[in-house]
Amino acid sequence: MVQDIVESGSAADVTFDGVWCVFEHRSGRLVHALEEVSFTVPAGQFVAVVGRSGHGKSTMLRVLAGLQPPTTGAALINNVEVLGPAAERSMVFQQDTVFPWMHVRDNVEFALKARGMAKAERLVISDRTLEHVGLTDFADSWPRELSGGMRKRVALASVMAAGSNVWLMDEPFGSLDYFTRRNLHELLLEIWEETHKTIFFVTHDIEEALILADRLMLVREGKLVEDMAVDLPRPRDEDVRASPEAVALTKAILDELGIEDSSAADISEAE
Amino acid sequence: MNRLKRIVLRIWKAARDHPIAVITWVIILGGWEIAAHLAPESTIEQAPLVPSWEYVFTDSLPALSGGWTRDFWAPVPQTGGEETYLGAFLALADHTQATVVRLAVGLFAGVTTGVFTGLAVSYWPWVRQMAWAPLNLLRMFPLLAAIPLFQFWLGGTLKGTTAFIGFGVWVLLVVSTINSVSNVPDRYIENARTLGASRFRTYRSIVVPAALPELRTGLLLSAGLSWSLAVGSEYIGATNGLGNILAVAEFTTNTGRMMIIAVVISIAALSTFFILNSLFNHLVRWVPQAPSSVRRVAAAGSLGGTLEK
Repeated sequence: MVQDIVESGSAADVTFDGVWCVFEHRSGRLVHALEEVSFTVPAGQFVAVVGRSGHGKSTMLRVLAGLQPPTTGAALINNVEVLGPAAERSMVFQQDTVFPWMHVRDNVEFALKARGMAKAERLVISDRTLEHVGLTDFADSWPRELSGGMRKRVALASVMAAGSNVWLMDEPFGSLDYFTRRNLHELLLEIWEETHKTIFFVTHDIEEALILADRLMLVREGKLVEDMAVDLPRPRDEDVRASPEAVALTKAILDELGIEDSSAADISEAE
Repeated sequence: MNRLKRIVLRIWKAARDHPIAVITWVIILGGWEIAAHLAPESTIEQAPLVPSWEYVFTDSLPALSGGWTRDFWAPVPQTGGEETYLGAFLALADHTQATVVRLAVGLFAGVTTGVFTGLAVSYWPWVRQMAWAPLNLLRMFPLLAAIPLFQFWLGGTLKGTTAFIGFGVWVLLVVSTINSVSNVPDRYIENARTLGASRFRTYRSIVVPAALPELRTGLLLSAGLSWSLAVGSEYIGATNGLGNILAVAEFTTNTGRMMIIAVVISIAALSTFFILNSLFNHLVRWVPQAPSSVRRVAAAGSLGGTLEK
């Protein structure tokens, strides 16, 4: 069903080829947001980028989105260099970016209108997308009439309807409460399992990364310090996340990021 | 009789609900009357420095009927007819209508061209470079000093006064629009770009609506400014309108008349403000509504009261 909604093609390979991002601070000091970052992600993979705040996670996503040109190196989608923003790489932002002056349906149809799609066709896609994210009854509402979680659903629906091959998600659920976040995790996984889009999900929440991703990239001080697979079985409920493998993974992540976690260490030793 | 009773009851209820407002008005009106009796006597006959309410209502108000020149509905004092209250109200309405027409045309022209110029300046870098210096010069230019220039170029006609009002509003709205556009949050623009919108579509569908709420201040300021400009231009060079009869009142040193005209101008300016504000509220009905500061303070007060109990 979701495949019907996201009508434009499949997922895409993503490559970072020796990307450096250097900014000049007002004081004249050079800040290395990204240093020599290289990786290849095959189409359809769910990648979580984990790291502390200010260590380059969001810059990585912005380079992929085409919002930030790299100082040297290149980002490539299906071997084509990223030179600017495009609908094939849509982004769900940390802040609320749903356009408040458009009704929910107009938000969802925005990318389709930008593409010049006819109204009847747009209606079909927006109807299906809204149904999928559970917002059919709110199609004609203003965003101000929705809760924070519902507005995130609108943002997801906009990216879905846009038919993007790569979804870039910059701590999208960071501002939401635990229960809303869990619901949105389920929704996102359901969409991903049906469409198998390539997803880059930035988070500083290790639990969130373990629930969602099948590959983890750990970023520290602008460098990609670890690139690991998450081989935990799905669905990753509480039992899976409490398993020795998950605890060991958590400990490895914390170690890589230079954070001591006594509780993880205690559990690991007890096992 | 019942109707009168209902009106009195309604006024009493309003007064009971807003005692501070009532007290403020009593102080203002009473203070004025006291000042009228304490002020030194003017050396000019029929021109008290501070006119008492009795003088305003029994002398100045009927004298305004001198401005009624149409030969129907009320006697025309200029052709020997007596001064009447009806004539005074008709004269006031006639001159108000003349000013409102000038103001509406000037305000509409100034707002539309101002917003479009501001949007063009913000969109095209070459327009911005070209317009930067002249715009900064114009915003510093004292508008009232431009009245004689406009009168000379276009005459004291509808064309001259509306062009002057439009010019003043245009300057304000251009600056206001540029500021509003530059304050649009980047996140909306970036979201639109990653959803595949072109630069022009992003500007039209994202930047323009996102800039609207901040345009409110400029627009409401332009409502007040346009009244000042309308009265100012009529005062100097028009043959009718509120500014013109204000100039006549000054010529005849009738302070009571000046006061009545000032009150009419204030009411009309306030009405313009409310009309523009409600039109604008409709335009930005999507903006999350924050409770007014008065309600917030009241809520905080009631909360404090509950806690104290």
